[in-house]
Amino acid sequence: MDLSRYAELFLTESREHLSAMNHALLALESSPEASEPVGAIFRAVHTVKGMSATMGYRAVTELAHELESVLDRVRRGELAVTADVTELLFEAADALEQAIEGAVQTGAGAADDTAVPDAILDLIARLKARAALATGGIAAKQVAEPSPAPDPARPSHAATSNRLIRLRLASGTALRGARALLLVKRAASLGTVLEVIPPVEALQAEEFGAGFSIHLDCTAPREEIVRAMFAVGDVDRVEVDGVETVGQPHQQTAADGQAGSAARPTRQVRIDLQRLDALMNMIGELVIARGRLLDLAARHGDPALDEAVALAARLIGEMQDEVMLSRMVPVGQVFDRFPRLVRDAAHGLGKQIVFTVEGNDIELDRSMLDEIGDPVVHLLRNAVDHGIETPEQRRAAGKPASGSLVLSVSRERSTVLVRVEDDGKGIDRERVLARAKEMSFVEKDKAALSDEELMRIIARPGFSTAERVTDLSGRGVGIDVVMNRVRAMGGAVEMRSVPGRGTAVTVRLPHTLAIVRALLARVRDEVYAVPLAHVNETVELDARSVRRVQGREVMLLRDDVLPLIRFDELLRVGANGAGARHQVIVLEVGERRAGLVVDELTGQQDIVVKQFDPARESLALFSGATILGDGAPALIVDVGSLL
Amino acid sequence: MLCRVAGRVVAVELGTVREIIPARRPTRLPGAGPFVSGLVNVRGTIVTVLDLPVRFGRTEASQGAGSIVLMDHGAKVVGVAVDEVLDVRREAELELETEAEALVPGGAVRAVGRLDGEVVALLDIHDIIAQVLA
Amino acid sequence: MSHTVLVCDDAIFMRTMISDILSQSGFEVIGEAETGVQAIEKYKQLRPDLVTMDIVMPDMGGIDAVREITKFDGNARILMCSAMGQQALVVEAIQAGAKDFVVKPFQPSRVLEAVQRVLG
Repeated sequence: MDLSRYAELFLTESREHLSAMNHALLALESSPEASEPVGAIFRAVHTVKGMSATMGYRAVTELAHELESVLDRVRRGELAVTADVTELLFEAADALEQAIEGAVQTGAGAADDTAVPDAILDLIARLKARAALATGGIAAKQVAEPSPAPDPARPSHAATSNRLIRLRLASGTALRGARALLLVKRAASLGTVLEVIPPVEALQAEEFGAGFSIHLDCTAPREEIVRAMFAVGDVDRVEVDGVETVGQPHQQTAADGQAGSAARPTRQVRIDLQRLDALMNMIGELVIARGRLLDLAARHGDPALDEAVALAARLIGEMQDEVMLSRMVPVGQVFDRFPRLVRDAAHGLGKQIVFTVEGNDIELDRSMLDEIGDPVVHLLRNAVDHGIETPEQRRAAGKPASGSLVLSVSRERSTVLVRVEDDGKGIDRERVLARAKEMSFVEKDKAALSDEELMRIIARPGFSTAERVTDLSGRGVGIDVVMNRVRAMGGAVEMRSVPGRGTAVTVRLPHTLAIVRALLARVRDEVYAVPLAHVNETVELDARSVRRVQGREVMLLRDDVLPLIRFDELLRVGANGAGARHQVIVLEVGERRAGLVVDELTGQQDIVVKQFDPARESLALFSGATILGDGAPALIVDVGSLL
Repeated sequence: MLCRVAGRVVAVELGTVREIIPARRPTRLPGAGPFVSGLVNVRGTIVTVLDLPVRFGRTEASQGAGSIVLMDHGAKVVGVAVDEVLDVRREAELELETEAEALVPGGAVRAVGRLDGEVVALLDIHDIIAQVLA
Repeated sequence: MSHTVLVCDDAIFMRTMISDILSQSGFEVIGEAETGVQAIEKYKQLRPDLVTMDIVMPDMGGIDAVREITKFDGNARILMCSAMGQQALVVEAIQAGAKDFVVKPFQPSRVLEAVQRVLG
């Protein structure tokens, strides 16, 4: 069998388990007495072990095995969770991750008998030492579940009829205690229950975590046990002697087709991301074709044709929505690794940080989520490195010793907001201003910086490389990187910083990268697309309301003064005849506004954002290109870079 | 592969040539030099097109006429507009000589040869592309 | 041949609802009981394939009724109907011989699943 086909799946699933493991480790670190995290870590490691053994990844399997032994001691209360044990577990989690990525990358499969990397061997040795030390019984921890009295007469699980059944109830199970009791009773009908962990009394009182185990003396085949357990209902996973079965083989009932469907949990399949991308691309083409069809039909004026085209157009729209939805994934898939990252960074700097993630279940387009990961890491790192002070500094400033760092995701109209907020020292505006003057980024007589100005200054690539910004400001490293990445996605970055109180950076993103609604604007014989997310309104340019203020053209719009951008001048297209009419597109990003002057608005439509390869010296005003109804490419204006 | 470009015959190695498509009206890329025709749509992919005749001294842009040679340039696909695609020949048939740098301003000519009495310049097309793309 | 059911609940509303759910799915509701004592009597008289039993009922509670019925017929198939938070009572009923349980508010699919499990 060719196992390489499963490598990708192995990797994805392992990452999920590693993420769960890291979460549980963090929980364990904060409450070392808790038994639930240990169980969760154990399950994750165990599953990874099983999978890697199947794949033939030796280093991973061995490491997981040793890790499992240590965890088992902890679980049995033979090894106390001290700080150094936690540290070792964290290290092991990292090593496991490396081993997994390494194994998949090199394709070190079944036939491979190359040496296990030294670093991993070393860790394995240390894990072994730990496990062995524990047998000495130092500081045995009393856990809720009493460890089973070893019975010398009892044969080991693997050999004979003594089976170990691990069960996990489905989430949302009502009266879990009663359900667990039914499972135990059902198990008893198959053989003799030797032991239940935790004991039946605890189960009935619902005093157990996600799952529990039954030692059963029975001769029934594995499949029968699995089937019997699932038949009890509300069971999510059944593991017999280490072999796991997930999900319920669904039972057909008479009413299933009707009333049953609503209550059934959603079923899922894994789809290769490339497939989804291909589907998305085709939808993109269809959307373009739809534009062309509608164009053509409008010219013919045949009602029957109109009707058929309208139907096709609607269906294409619905299909587009469905495909978009299928590409949405909860941000947690990427953000789940951040608690660990923040913890490590804080530890390294001797800082205490309470990190909170809000809105983990909000969904984003897969491609966008991949893109946003790095910028968010930058923001978090900055907050930990430069924003939040050391415990001593914080106490001196009259703040709690632990800093607070919040990563929140929320929806606002058609955009998604990702916000990183700390309660650290904020950006030192004085020093930024002084530095900016030195570098002639601002006028010499400038007295203070607004948030907008502050961000624009520290986001200038020259600014952060000119000096170690680390010493200079609360934030700065990589903010230009963040800005560029976010802009490339059609989003915008806003920042607010209060000295002594902290800094908040908000990244505003469109819902999806691939298709956006845009205004089409003509300038002479060229057509450009302006994403509607940043368009406030459009007005006709009235020459009487145009003024010049400090050498800049502005327009009076109701009570506002709106700076004007002559798009034709920017684009360096030929001059227009005098007296020609113009339209103004009022753009808005954050607090900044401007009016973009174009010749004519030719319509609104969904456009498919595509990348193009810019040439040297071509204007950096465009975030991408799209294909219009007539098949010709049109550039998409990057509103952020205009303002 | 032999092409006619601004009255000359140039040769491009076939290895990275993907496809030849009829020329189509490009969308201008504002700010880019005259040697960049702009963007065209090739079955849903946006391709940046270089104007080879302009690079070889012609003053007006070659819009709409001729062919576009699509080439793999690293991971990118780039279009190169030419006046006409002539033929495909073996390199040995070109009787190449290597010392002819000065034939075209800005280098980019790897060698010069002759074919049926006509002078043929073998281009380092990827060098030309690299000079233009950001 | 359809399975026969005895529905025991002191609330008419609940009896009607359960009866409707079951009869719509091809079960034959052959009797209803309002109290634990009635439940035992009707069970002996009707010998249904399945009993749905409310936990809290007047005179004799559902759990005692389960005990009596299983004493009379060791193979009786009894499905408990409980509310959230009645875990201890449900546990007691299971130990007394009930085969499964559903939790109010009822979702028809849940009820039918449980019924299938008990009969299967």
